[in-house]
Amino acid sequence: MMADAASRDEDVILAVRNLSIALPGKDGPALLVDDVSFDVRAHEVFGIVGESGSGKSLTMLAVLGLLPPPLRMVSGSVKLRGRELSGLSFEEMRSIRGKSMAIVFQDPMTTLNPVLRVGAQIGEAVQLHNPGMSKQDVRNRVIELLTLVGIPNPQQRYRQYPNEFSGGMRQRVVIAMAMANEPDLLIADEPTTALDVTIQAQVMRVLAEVRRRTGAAMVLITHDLGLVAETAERMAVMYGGRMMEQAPAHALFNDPAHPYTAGLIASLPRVDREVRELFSIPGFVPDSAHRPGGCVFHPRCGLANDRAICRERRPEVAATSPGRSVACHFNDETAPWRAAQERAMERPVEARAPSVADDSEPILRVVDLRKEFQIGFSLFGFGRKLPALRDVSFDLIKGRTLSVVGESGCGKSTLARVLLRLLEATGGDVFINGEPFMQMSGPLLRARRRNLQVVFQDPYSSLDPRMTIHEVVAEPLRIHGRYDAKRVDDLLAHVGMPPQTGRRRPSELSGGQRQRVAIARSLALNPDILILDEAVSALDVSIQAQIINLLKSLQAEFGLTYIFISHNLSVVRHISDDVIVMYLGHIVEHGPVRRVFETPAHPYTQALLSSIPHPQSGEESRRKRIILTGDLPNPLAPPTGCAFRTRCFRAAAECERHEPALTARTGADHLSACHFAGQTATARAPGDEG
Amino acid sequence: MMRMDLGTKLMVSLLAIMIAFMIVTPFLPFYDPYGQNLAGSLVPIGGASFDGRLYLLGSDTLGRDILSRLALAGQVSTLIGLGAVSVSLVVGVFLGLVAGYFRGPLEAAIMGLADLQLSIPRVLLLIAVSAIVGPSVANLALLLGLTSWVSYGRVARGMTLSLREREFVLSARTQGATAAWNIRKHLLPNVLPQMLIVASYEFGQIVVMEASLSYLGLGVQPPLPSWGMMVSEGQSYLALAPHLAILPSIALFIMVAGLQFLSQAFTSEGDVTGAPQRTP
Amino acid sequence: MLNLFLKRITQSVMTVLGVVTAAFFLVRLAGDPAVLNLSAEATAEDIERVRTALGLNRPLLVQYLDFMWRALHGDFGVSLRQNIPAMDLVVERIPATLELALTSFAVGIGLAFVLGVAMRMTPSRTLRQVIMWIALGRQAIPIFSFGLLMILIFSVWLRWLPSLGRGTWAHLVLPALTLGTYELALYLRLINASLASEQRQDYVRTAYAKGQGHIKVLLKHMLPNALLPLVTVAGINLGLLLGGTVVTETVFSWPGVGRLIVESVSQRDFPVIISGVFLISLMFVVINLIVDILYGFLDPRVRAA
Repeated sequence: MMADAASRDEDVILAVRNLSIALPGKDGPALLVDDVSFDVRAHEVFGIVGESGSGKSLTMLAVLGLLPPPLRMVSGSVKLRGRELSGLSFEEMRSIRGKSMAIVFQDPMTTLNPVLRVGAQIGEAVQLHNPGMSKQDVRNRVIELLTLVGIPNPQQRYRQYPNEFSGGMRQRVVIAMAMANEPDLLIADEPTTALDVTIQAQVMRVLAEVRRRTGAAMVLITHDLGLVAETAERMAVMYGGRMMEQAPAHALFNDPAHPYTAGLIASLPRVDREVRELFSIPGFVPDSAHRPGGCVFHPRCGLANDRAICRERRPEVAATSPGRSVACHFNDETAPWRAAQERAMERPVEARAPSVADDSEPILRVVDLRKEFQIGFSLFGFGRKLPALRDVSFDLIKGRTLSVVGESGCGKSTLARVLLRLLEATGGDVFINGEPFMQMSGPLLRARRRNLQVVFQDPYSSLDPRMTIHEVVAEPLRIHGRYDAKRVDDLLAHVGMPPQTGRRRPSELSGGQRQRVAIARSLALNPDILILDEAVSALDVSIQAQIINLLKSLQAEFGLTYIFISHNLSVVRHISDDVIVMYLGHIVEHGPVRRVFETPAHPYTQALLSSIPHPQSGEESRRKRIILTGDLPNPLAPPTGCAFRTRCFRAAAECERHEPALTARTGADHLSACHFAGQTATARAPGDEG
Repeated sequence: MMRMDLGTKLMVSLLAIMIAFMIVTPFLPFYDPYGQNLAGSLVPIGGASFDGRLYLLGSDTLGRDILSRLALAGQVSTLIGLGAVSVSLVVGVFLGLVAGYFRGPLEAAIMGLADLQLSIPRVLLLIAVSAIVGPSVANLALLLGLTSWVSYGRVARGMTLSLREREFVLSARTQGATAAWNIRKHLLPNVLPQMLIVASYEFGQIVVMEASLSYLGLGVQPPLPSWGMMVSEGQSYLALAPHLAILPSIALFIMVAGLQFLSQAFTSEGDVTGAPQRTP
Repeated sequence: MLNLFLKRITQSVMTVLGVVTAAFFLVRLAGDPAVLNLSAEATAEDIERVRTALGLNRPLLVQYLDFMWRALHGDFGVSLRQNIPAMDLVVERIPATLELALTSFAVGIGLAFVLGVAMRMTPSRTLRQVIMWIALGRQAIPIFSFGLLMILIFSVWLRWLPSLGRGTWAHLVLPALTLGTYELALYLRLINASLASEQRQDYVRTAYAKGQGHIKVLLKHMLPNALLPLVTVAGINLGLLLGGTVVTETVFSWPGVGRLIVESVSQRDFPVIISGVFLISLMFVVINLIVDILYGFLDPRVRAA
């Protein structure tokens, strides 16, 4: 087998063979990771992609010998530079962990010990493997490491606690800690998933830089196909605890051999093209206790066609060409199947019918909406004000989809909550169908609320765990005394759920199914406008496509107007007609989606768009990437003049003095707030950091 | 759904057996918690008096049957406990829900009251109040209830604070639900199971509190017996007849430990009751 | 941080004022102080005379403010039985109570700490279970029962230690053991729960990933985090500790504030009861304030706030 040939290679740092991880249970152990083999070569980036529950993180924890009990590695071998690790004692593993192998976990907010100084935590990693080192030397090394990961004022930062660092800065500290002993292998487990896209770009650059300096190989574990595509040389796809496919990154994206990989790639919305409908893998990701027999993917597979062999026999990983292997009985059918799917999707998008004449009264009109939060206690009257929305104005025409994008803290979720009257606005007006919504109260407000409904992000907390699905969907009807069992079944049918589902409880449903129920509930009162607050963000890629397609078909069917709030620009590009970009409570750009994406006027929009990693982009887009420096400024003390100027690559003296107004750019409907809007991003070399 | 370890099984079975005894004993022929017998003072366990009366668990100084008194005292304690738990559960859940859902000055007032009450040790508060209003079974139940609402109130408020921001409650609000609707349909059903766990633990605490007051002479008043009072009566005869103090102590232990293990089994791992949270 | 201090101090002052207010109503509930001050044969005229002398004819608000003013000077009136200021009687008893409370607290938390860490380090599940059972079991024995058990074993049967009174260190052993083991059970459960939840934190995984060993991870990383909730809870549980002294003092005839209060109840000496309750509550509030400020220094997250 090809993997065996490779393991003889001197170049191989990490060789994993037939690794299985089991969770002991009453009905025998459940295999969470099943017979996984791969190699990582010196200096390379090896990507492992998979959806939640695929076993990608567990595999690497097993390599480190850090599986949380009661999970156990039940079979297989792990060799680091030819040395077998699987039988080693805890003490023997200690000398390897942090020295030859190190890991960067997902959430920088929890990876650092909150009560220890940052310097001490990095120092610990240094000292553990250099017991003879003097205190002063350890200190110097830590400061050197902090400098390496680009933390300004390392002398001073050394003595601070993690809570004094932003998320991005904390992740740099974690990287410094991992690189303390210049390991041969760095494992990065979703290192940027918890971060905003502009910060993600910074952190990925730091990772590339430290690897360049030390020559460490890296295993990048992620669910983000785009990120892995532009970072990894070789990659593996996992599903249901099994290795599905391994290949060089570009080959895997251009010519996936496994139908699951092909499906995943097809279900990704992309910034660089428009498709009518996303491909979606049917069904949902099975949990580890109920994985199907035979090929673990067969119930969702487009190739299986109910063939007995897929149901009954587990396909083995087999080499198809040098450097590529796949676990599928019919992998030679993948390419033609994929081509057929692509043809179906790439049917030209008919120019969207300007649904209602543009001069009609907008269904929603937002005028100078402001929201300030009171921060701190105001016992002596000196609470501070945090401006979350600053003079936000826009109109929305019936039947269209308006997306609101921006990073965390930009005010997009506050906007949703203020519009829904879950938070009270500090100032400004909102008119729905011409009626002033903000001034309503009591029974009138409760009656009018039906016009504006919402679907939230988290499918796990959006349904009351104590109600049946039927009761969940019936609730809005009951509130208004209009309960009708048949209507509930109808609503469920509209979101693709059989009426029997009504008897079940939320805990019995998968994330995607719950989100369908939440959508059914939001439609119960026949709303005019639906706010989708990160409604697909918590879902796996294959499920996300299903829900996006569902939302689009419901919109066509009921003539709904959507406000789509998201940080995911690719999804926004696919779903919306218009887009608003927000930064620190301001609208910085507003216009039709195609024009904003193709000719972004505001430097922030330009930076955001360039930060999106996508599978087809490769080296070129990485080179053109605009990496913003620094973090979001403290919203309690926003910069004078233009709020974005502290991170802007185009900032000039004027930006400090005057706040730019929203003004027309490529057309009357494309607005942006920048003194130097529209100049190309390459006017100055913006990529260089600090 | 609930896994019990060996110790839990043991204690809960003992509790069940004891409760069965408490219920059955009044129907037995020798049941007589009040009858004094000068010929049968301080009879040891299983002994008989001079006039030939058998005392299964011995007798006290006045020759009263300890088994009968233990059973009656258990009933009194249970009655006071149930009364007090009901009062505190209702008051605590109501105040907790109101404070957590409406926030603002109402919350500040309710939690201020809770802090105030916590700053006077419960035993002392009960001593002071019961010294003044005079102890009776009903007064005790009411007083114990009113002084122990804080545990429920804090947990209920904490849960409400997080539940009211949960998306299913927000979504009900956007559909036009009133506060009453949300409290009735979403908050109460989600808070109540946790409250019953707190109640099973608090029940034991209240039994101890009542026993302590009775031990100090400020709880249940004679001629009605109480386990705490029986221990106090037995203290003077510790050397001569240790069973006088030990038997009611064992009864107390079974009651409290049984409830404690039970509530521990309900709470999977974290303990809501052991770690009171400070209001921010 | 400064804001936090100011807020906590304000809160504490409010609490003390609240306690005084509660005390005022308690005194009123107790009955007419004039009647209480006099013997049963007093005539209506006598009562009226005393009422005037005590200022009970004034408007309620004036009386309340007067009560508040005197309370803040520690003046809750004169003991009805001994005819000296009630507060003096209470203050006299404070050292005994403090001695008992502090020793018990130290015994309890010290042992809980050692056992809690040992429980985390032992690989034996059975041993952990047994320690937990013992802790739960101890918590289920009321203080007076446990105290009598101690007296029975160590004074009556073994004749090792005195059972009553205060004087030598030997007198302190049984009361401190009784109250201390109660504290032990409380804190052991807490330390255990808190360490168990820290164990699941990412930073623990990170420490292991650096190559750190079990003991260092426990002592250096988990313990400082696990102690934070403990500090808070210790403050709140102080109420239980102080309440526990009342019962313990009665069992062992320990001449502390608690015993004084219980004795005063049977003598219906209300000024002494109220003075005692007020002083203990004041101790509770002050210690909690100190604990909170301490917490601020211990937790960098609070310090930054």
